[in-house]
Amino acid sequence: MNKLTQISRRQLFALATLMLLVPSLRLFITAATDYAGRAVWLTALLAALPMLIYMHFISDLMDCRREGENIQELMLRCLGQKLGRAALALTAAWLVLYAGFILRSGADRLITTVYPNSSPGVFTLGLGLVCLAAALGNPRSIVRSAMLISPVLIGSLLLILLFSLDSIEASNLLPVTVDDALPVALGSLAAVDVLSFGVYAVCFLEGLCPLEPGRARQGSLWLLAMVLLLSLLCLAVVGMFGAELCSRLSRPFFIMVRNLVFFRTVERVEALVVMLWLFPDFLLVSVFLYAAQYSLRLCLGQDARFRGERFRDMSRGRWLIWPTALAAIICSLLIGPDALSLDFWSAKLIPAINLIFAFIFIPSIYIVGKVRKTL
Amino acid sequence: MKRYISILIIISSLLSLGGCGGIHTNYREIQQLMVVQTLGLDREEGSVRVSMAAAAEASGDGPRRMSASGGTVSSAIERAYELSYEEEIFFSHVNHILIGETAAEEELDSFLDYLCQSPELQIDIPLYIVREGTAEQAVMEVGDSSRGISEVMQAVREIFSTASNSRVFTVADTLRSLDRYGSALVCAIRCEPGSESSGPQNSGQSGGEAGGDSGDTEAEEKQAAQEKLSQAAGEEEAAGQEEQGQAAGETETGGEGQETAEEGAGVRSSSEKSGPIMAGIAGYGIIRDGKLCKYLEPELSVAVGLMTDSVPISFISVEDMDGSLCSLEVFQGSAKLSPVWSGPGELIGLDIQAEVTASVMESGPSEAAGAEEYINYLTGQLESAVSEQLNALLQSSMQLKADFLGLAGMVERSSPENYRLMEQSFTEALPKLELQISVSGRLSHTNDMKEA
Repeated sequence: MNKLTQISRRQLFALATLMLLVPSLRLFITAATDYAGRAVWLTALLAALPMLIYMHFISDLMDCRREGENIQELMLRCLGQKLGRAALALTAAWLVLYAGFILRSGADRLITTVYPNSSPGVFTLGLGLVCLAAALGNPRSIVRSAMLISPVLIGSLLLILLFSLDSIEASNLLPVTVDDALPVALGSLAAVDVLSFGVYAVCFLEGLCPLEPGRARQGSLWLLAMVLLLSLLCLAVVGMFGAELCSRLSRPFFIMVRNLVFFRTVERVEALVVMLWLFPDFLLVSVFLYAAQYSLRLCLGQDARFRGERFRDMSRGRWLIWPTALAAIICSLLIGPDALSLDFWSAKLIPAINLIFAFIFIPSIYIVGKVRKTL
Repeated sequence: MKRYISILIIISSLLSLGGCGGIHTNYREIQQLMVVQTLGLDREEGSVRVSMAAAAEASGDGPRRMSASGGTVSSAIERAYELSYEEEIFFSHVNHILIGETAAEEELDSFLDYLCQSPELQIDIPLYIVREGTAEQAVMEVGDSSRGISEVMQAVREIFSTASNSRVFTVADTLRSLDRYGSALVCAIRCEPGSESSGPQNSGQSGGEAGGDSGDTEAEEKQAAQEKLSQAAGEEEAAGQEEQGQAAGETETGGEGQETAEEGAGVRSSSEKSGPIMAGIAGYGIIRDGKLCKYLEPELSVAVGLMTDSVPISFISVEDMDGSLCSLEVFQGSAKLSPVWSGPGELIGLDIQAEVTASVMESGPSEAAGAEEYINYLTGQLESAVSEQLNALLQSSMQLKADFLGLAGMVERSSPENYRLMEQSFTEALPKLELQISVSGRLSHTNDMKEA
């Protein structure tokens, strides 16, 4: 095991928690509320069972890896050289697209909450370059920065949830009857989308962890904690505004933060909270840029593992990091030039591709691997 | 240690990224900002008039106010900014939103949409309708040279939410109620001559005003407006005396002779004509389909509080055994609504059981004062008064087919299965429902009233 890049599984799931916060606050609350209405707080709970099965499936897949291997190496192994490379290219394209989308939606969040009338290009370019620097370096640094920032982020999130308790009205959340079962089931698709993203996203850095048993158990515990977090978020936001008003708001969580008053003296802290959310954006984009270039380098037959190369080292296909980051930034500049199209990307296109990747693409690889007995 | 230092660096770096710390970009001294605390919105001949007022300044200068009109709220704000001395108008701390009566009658919903979408305003700002007046009048004229509408509205807010559990309806409350039930309640205020003497310095000047394109800041005009209001209040008082004894109830908007026999409506002081104009509580406006359709008088506040689970501290006048007026202070109460079903999904009535607790604040010179019989009689009177209030309130909801109290939600929570089986919408079924109201009163203490 390469000691230079080694991380623990606990660190890996801390990273997953922060990465999961990005789609949770962008997509989950609004999308789930649209379907489930006031029963939205049940959607994450309903998604728990299928997601636990999915977590066991992913753990089963990742348990087949060898020392230092990520999911990308498993793709090559399962599908063979030709199909495997095509799958890696597809994976890289999805990761670059997603990274570009996150840059764009992060910029939009900043514009609508803190910097009105600004150009998104400034933010996407700025964050894109920072993420490029991270992708050029040791992937362990990305994970360790997640460990550093997670207490701040989770702490502030819990504080916000605590202070929102006072504003929760039971009439916004109840009654829930049997008739709500179908809407809740439909709303739980949004929870499945978000949670599945968190489950598979860490597989791109799994090679940094030593081979240890108990992945499924650790993963399941993490998943249940995330289900609880999503449910609390729904309770706080929908309990405060009601489902009808939540459906009108594009970012109900940040509007909730805008309304919070701490100790009857401190208010309007939304700018600070919005800035905090830059860190999950940074982590997600950095991980995806790293994973995309890793996939492309494997496509070219290079050993993509980090061996302590310097930033300007272009050997072993490392030059691919630059065009990968450039592609993500270009994507971010082209995605959603206006609010309507960005909404389409955010609410429809990206979640749909994410579900296809999680529940069709990855399982297909697993099935092929099992059939070919290469796993 | 490195870990804690890193966290500290991360947190401190956030302070410089919050959009307000760049000393080379948008830094402003607080004196250079006009921190708007009260925002008024009116509709006038196809355009929108926006009026804004800051709080009074620590230096003793009067509150800065401005008003301008434009095609939309944003263009009116832009116009006000162009025609003012202000370097920057800051909307992040708006505490009160006032809507003129005409604007509320015509298109309150479009203003609500603006308030909901605004990136600067909070969504839980208290919303008020200026009854029989404009928001501009309230923002530009209320107060004196040292205090303005923002200070007055702060006091109004305190009065509206006297008890710890009572509330002022906010923009979010209104939007939610309109979306959910199709109608909502909004607190109403009215501009009236103040009861307090303002001293010799208040000759109508309001220092520090940034007039915008409004000419209403002229001292003469203000004086004339005050005199006009005083005169109107005098007439209303006379009308009020004629109507005394009539039950309190709702009033159609825009009608004449709307003043009821409201206690305290005829407040006068020696400096009435030179005193400042104030904003006083004027009940609640009923919003249906995004428009103001009726008012509820302030006398119904206990009933409103009971039905919205937010009973304010308020006084109820009842007659004692000798026919003398007694004042009871209601300070606690709750109401439970139970739907009456004749079959699955067939709602035929509403059974409301209320409990109120009050104390005797002022009693007549009765010989029986303090006796158990006397207290029981007063308790009965209290129950009767609250029952009447509840009946008047619910009747207005039924007549208007407007569920501004959220009765549908209460019925649904009480029996969700039956509610879902209802063939008619709740508002359609509302006028035909039978009401059963029972009130249980309790006089918790009599403030040292002794038996004679």
